[in-house]
Amino acid sequence: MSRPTRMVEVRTKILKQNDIVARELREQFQESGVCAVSLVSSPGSGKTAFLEQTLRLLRGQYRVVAVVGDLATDNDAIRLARAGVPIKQITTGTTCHLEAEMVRDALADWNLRELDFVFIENVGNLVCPAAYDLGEQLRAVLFSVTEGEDKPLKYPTIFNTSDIAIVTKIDLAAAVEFNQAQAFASVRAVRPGMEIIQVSAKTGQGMDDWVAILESHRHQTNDASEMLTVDASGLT
Amino acid sequence: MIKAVHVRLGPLSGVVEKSLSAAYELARDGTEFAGCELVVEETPIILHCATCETDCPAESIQEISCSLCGSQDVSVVGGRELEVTALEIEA
Repeated sequence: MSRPTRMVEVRTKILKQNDIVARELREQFQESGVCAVSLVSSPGSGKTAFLEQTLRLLRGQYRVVAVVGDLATDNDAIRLARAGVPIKQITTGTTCHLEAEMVRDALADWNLRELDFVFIENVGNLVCPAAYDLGEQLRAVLFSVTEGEDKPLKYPTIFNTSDIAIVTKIDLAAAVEFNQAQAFASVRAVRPGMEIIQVSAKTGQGMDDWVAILESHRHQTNDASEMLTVDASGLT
Repeated sequence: MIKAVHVRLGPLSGVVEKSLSAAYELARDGTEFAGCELVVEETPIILHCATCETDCPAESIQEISCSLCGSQDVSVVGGRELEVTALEIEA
C-alpha cells in the first residue's frame, strides 16, 4: 500500500539562474548608459552581414562592440572585425543558444561606461534563444525574404519575445517573389503591432531606418540612466 | 522521499513537454531520485485585452488576438511559465 503524500509548494522558475544574471546585466547596461541589442535568426538569414554593416555605420559616431555566438569557429568574429570595432567570439560548443552568463563573461574585459552600443549576435537558431533572457534592451529577430513569408507562424515564440522584426536580403525580394503583405501579416499575427523594417546589408537599403531606431533606443537608455543618476544624487 | 515534481509549462516558454520529460528521465534515472515522477501541467496562453478589458485564452500561438472582440491590442499575461510549482513528498 502506498503511503500518503503531501504537497510542498515551491514556485521556482527553472531558468531562475539565467534570469538573475540577465537582470544584473540589464541593470549594468542601464547604469552605464549603454544600449544592448541582440540579434536572433535562423542560420543563414544574414545576421553577420547585417551586423557588419551596422557596426560600420555606427563606429564613426559611437563607441561600439559586439559579441558573437557560434557553436564552433571564430569565423564570424574575424569577419566582423573588418568593421574595425572590438569583437569577442563566444563558442558555445554543443549549446544551441547563448545564456546570460556567457554574455556576462564575454563582456568582462570591457568597461561598459566607455561604450554606447553592445551588440549580441546569438547562435543561428529560432527555437531555444527564445527562452533565454540576455539582459538586452532590444531584441531584433531577423528573417530573410528567401525563408518564406510564414516563418513567424512556424516559430511564434521567438517572434513573440522579440521587439522588432527585420526582413533581410530585401534586394532579392523580386527574384523570390517575396509577398510583403503576407510576411507582415504573419509577424503581426504572433506579435500584434510589432515594428518591422526591411533591409539589405548588401545594397544598404533600409539601413538608415535601422540606425534611426538604434539612436532612438540609445536616447531612451540615456534618459533612463540620467534619471538613475539623479535619483542616486538625491539620496546623498 | 520525493515522489513527484510538479511543473507548469506554457507554450511561450520555448520548451515542449515531451523534450522536458525525456530530459528529466535521462537526468533522473540511476540516481537516488529514480522513483520521482515529473508531473507537467501545461498552461494556456492568456491575453489581457485592452479594448474589452478582459483576460481570455488565445485561439492559438499563431493568433495573438482577443478571442472575444478580435482586438490585437493585447498583452500576454500567461503562457510563459517554466517553473517548479510543488514537490510531492511521502509523509
